[in-house]
Amino acid sequence: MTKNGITPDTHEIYGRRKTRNIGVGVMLIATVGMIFAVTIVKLSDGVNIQGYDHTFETTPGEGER
Amino acid sequence: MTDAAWISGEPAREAEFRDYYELLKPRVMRLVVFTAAVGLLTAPGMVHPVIAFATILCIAVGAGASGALNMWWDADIDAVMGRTAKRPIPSGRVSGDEALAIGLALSGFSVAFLFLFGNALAAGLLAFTIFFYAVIYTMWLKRATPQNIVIGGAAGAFPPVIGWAVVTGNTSIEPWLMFGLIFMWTPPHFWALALFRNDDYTDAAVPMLPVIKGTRATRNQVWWYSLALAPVAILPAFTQVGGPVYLIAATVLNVMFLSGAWKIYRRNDEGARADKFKVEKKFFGFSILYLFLHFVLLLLEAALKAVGLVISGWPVIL
Repeated sequence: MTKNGITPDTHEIYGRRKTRNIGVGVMLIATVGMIFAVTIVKLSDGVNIQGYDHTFETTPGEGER
Repeated sequence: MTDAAWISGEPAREAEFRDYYELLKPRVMRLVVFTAAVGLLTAPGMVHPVIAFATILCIAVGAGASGALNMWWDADIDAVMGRTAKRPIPSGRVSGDEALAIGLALSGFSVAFLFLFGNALAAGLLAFTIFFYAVIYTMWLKRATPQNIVIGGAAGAFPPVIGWAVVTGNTSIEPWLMFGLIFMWTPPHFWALALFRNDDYTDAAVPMLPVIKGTRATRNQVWWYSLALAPVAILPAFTQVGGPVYLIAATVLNVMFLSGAWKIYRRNDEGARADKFKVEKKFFGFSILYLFLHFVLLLLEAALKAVGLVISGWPVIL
């Protein structure tokens, strides 16, 4: 019972929502963690991260003359 | 939950996280993870353990996604069959729309991530596997022909090929023999199940072989497919991934498998009903162990090679 006399809703639906929200949260964090780990591994292996449209500059850029 | 509930697509109650997890058919996923891992670990070369873990996870999620799409499409017949009536959609825990959304989203994510983590061939094979299981098998063959699981079995056979492709970027005879092993194993495995679950499939009007052609024809087919499976299962012994341990153990396993299939072939329905399908149930249970042990043997051969325990002059004919 709270101060103003309102009882918190303890309907079992909140329990189910809670497990769902925690589950989705854990999955999202795990996905981000996995992408991070794979990125670190790929960068450590020296994988080519240049875009498919990358071209070498054959002449110096404007500011380098 | 009434039948009207899943037809309307509205769940009877809000789902818990484990209800969504069940949509992904965790038991099937375990087999997929294992066979894909064997394909990956027996392939020549190696990938970083993080990449190996991430790519196998992608393959597992892709398989799970196709399972969710299968449950979405099959909710009507799942509700009729005792074996599947407690699945999340027919039991009212997840709506059909949710299952479809999860299936499509996870299909897209798994293929995209496998492309980024692995390579284009592996991602393409996974996309094809999902398409094959969800569309070719579930939507088309399953309700159209008693050969449904013969052709549909290909979907479950792809994971070792995908695992191999992650490492090598291509495929060769070894992963395709692993494919052949699962592909040829699927019909006798499922027809043994169908023999003692015939009423379920009849009620749901799924044209399984015993429903359409009768149990006599099914018993014959279990035997002939088991006979055809044996050479496919033993042949990997004479490839780069095989060896004497595999040859000996696979031969024993196939003799046992054929013995079970022969008993099913020799029986009739009166005999089966008398002992409550004891032989068929035993064969079905053993068939799972049979497949599992073949892949364990391939891992064992890879481990033996890794520590230098190889017989020089072993005939590698393929």
